[in-house]
Amino acid sequence: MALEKFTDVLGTKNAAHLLRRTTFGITKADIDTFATKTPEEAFTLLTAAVATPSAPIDAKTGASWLPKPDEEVNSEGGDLTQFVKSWWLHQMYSAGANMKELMVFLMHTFYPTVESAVEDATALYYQNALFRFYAYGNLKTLTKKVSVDNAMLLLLDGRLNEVDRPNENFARELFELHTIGKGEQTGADNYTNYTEADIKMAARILSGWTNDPNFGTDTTNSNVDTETGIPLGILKGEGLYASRHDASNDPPRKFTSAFDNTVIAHLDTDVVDGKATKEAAKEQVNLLVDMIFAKRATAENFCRKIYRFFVYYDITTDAETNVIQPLADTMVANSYEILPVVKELLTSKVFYDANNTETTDNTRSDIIKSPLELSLGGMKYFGIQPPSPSADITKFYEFYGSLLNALSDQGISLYEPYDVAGYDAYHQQPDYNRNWITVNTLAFRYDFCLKLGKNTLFDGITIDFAKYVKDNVTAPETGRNIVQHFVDYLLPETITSTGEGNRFDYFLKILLGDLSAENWTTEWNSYLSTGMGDMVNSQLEDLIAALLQTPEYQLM
Amino acid sequence: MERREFVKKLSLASAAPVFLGGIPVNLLASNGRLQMAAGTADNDRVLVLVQMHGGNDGLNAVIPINQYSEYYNLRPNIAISDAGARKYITLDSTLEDAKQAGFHPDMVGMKALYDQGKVSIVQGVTYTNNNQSHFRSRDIWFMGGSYNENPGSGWAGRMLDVEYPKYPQDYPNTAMPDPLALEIGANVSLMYHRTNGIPVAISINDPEQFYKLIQTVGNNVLPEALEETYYGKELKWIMEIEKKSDPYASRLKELFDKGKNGNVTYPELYTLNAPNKFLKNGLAPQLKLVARLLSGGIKTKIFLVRIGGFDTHANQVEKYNASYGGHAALLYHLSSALKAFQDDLKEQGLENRVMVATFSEFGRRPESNGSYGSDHGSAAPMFLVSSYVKPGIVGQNPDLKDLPGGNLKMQTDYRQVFRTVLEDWMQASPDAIKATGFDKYEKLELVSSTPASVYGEFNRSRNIIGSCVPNPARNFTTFTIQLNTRSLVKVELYSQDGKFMYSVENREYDMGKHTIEVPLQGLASGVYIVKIDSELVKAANKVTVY
Repeated sequence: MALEKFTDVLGTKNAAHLLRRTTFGITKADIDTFATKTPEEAFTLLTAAVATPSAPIDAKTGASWLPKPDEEVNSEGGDLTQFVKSWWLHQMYSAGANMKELMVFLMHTFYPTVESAVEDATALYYQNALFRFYAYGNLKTLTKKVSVDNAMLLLLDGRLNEVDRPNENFARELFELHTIGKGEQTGADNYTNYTEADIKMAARILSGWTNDPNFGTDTTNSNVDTETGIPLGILKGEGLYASRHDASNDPPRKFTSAFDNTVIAHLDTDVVDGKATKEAAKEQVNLLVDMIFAKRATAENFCRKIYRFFVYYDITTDAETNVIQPLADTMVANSYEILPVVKELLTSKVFYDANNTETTDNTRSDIIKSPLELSLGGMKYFGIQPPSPSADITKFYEFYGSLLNALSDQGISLYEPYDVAGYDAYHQQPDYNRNWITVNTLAFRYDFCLKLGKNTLFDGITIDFAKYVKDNVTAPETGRNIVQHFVDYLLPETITSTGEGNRFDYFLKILLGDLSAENWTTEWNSYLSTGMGDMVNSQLEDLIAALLQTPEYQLM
Repeated sequence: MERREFVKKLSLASAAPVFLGGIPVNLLASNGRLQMAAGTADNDRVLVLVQMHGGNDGLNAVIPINQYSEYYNLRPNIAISDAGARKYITLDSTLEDAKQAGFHPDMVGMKALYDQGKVSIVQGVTYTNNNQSHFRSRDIWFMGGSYNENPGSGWAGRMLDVEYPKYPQDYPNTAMPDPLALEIGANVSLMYHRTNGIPVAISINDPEQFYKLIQTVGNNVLPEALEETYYGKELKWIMEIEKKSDPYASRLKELFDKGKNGNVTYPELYTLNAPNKFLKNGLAPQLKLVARLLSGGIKTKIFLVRIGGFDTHANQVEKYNASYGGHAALLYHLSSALKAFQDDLKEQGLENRVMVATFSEFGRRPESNGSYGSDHGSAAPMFLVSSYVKPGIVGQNPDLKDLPGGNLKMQTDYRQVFRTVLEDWMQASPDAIKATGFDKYEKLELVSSTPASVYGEFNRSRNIIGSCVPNPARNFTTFTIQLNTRSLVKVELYSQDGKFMYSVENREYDMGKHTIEVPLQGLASGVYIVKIDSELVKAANKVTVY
């Protein structure tokens, strides 16, 4: 039974709610546009087709280095990695009111990568491109390809896993992190959904692969995926046979009762002289993934991750029964296409708290923004433009380089989580996204907001707050209207506005500079007639800085 | 306090088993001191936990040399050698065969601490049905549960919640002006999470930078208490953390400024062969900061520091020589940082207040893999470092012929170690221990009632100086000296009334038993004193010359 659909026109608050959770930053104009749409219409807009971005540029050559870097000509690996990170951040920042890039990031949280372990910028790029191809696509197909993706083979030692020297690292994480997830541990080596024995068996199935350092350019051994055009990992061995793949059916290639004792055998015709054909070895990976995805628990695991990503970190029994299970039904019915599930969730009454009149289960505004949403969101709202890569590639990379550092201080080192499970917010139970906030990271988040408000974030880039107010706020000569406007568009919920020490008056006082309301009107009118915005901008900067450095602004 | 207010508060008080002068202590809880006095021992003892993230290969750190050939055969491509310049360091020749162990050659610092009687190694630590997922197993260690439990809070969080009730609202206060617990880094580990409310620890990297930052950010006014919506709950989470930032940032800076480090060099790099990412010592700066804060007078009692990189599935060692490589670097970092930390504390008179405990989410399999590494395993040793440990080895070498599921067998449950440390060292209250869940686990002999001393019992039983033979003597006499570690040995001859005659020896001797000859030709008859001083033991032997 599918989630009940929400068909009303969104309005401002719901539009902002939807956009904050599906993008990395939007403008007031976006909110106003979406406010006139129904959830279904909004979803169509959000998933409108966008062009595939061109590859990152090497600042040294002024061009892309694909399909693989030339040591003589291109920058060093460390620099190339930095370019990939900056390029990706740029995609997120430029996306606007389109959810493709958010879905790419969601895929990244499903299949995390640690760049210092991969040590290959090109592999990182191609994996990112793979996520972009399947951002609205099929999770099962994506898993098949990611399992033999170059970055993954490097990260989790898949390239070291061979017939007589199995390495279980990737096999373990395939079950635990990427697909079905652990269940309760019921005994030694048994995690309900799979067991240690299943991990060992999967390692056999996955044996014999390695990363392709030539990224498909050496045709004697290449594996360029026909559907995506992306070079994947290759099987060791010359010619047709996978020389390091375990081709033997003895002991039987049988999984435990967790997978209904499934056998993934090699056909006699595929094995010659003890070696399996590369085609057969490739197919083994597909059969393994098929087996894991045949279990409903896999769909449930993905749906819980999706729920936490878009709704709330804590899954109550009510949410499990009434949201997760129906979404899992949809995922299974659609053979693991992700878009129908995301669409069902984002057009549902439950997403807009319209499924009942209870307020204690409202999920609007209950997600703690990641540093990405916090930083990019603030920058985008006030129209900060990055330097153009075609005009000045160095400035472009400097801009994103400093942004990456700021994000790191706030708790997300892009492509460099502490370990292979990825950024804590997306997996560390029981607190999930609450892990974004510590005394440390909160201070740095506030620091970023302070600099954004006071226009000290980037050299040479200044937000003209006065112009924004002139263009977007009705009757701004009355200071209250400005504060109300920003409360409506920037903060997720209303704030106290009556009574002793109310929050609204606190911010109003900051805007007025602790002077009278009439004084503001005079200053504002003076700005309108003279065009000299220094005075009003100084006050507006203080207001914005104060509004953003709030617990409220940390939430979406 | 008005009588009516008093009565009103009475009805709101939660169960208070302690009464002082007829007044339930809970009412006075806003004065944290009283609650603390009622519940906990008033001591200044500190626990520093070192988390080795990734699963430390204990078998290559504490090598079971009594089963060397089995050890070698299980992992020939990563085994530490028993010969040559890079062989294992024999830990202690006085240990019985079943405990005979060798350290990895780069654990020089840990050996030195062991020789000072400041190390206890607990062998075979894990929990039944240990989970081989890094993340789940680490969570289990942090939560203090069994393989199938999920309390959702950390043992330190639960314990500190009992020791310091009404956190965060009643803190900081004059009795406890400092963070209840500290984690070096940006995040707050699950260990410090409580059942309800924000975690008990503050995470810090750089007190100076943090203080500067805190001064400039945030608003003076925060939103008020809110309705019970999810939004309200998340706001509360953020606000409570924010409210702690200011007071604790100032306080940590104050402590940092007041404190100092001793005249000790904290190690920075592994200078031998290992992949780049392992060369830098990530642990030393963290311990250095802890030492400095302690020197400044911090009252925080539990510290957590982390060193990662132990997940050595592949390339644990250098292929051409297994004593070098990533794991070697990490063991070096661990040992040298702990040695520097201990020396720093000692120099500043803080040594007797601190106990360090290292742990990792699991050990690694005894059989190596084809990638010159080892896979996730089970039991592994924990190191306890303090002048107040009972030095030696608890448990014995793993039996390499008895490997259930190919893994080392469990000898000790990790909760036994934590319970012992919390109860015997930290002297935590019974309620606090109960909150951790460790009360059901049998304690170990880990904590001493007297601190180690250089010439104390531990060393005197391991480094033995024999009396002079022959005695009386004519032209020469000899004495034996047994050393448990390579040491500098100074031998001097004095007359009976203390006049220095001449120097006999002043050089290093290897571990083992030696006979040293003392020349006596040309001396007038009488009684002389052979003064022997070797870093860890000394003696003054009388010899009669005729």
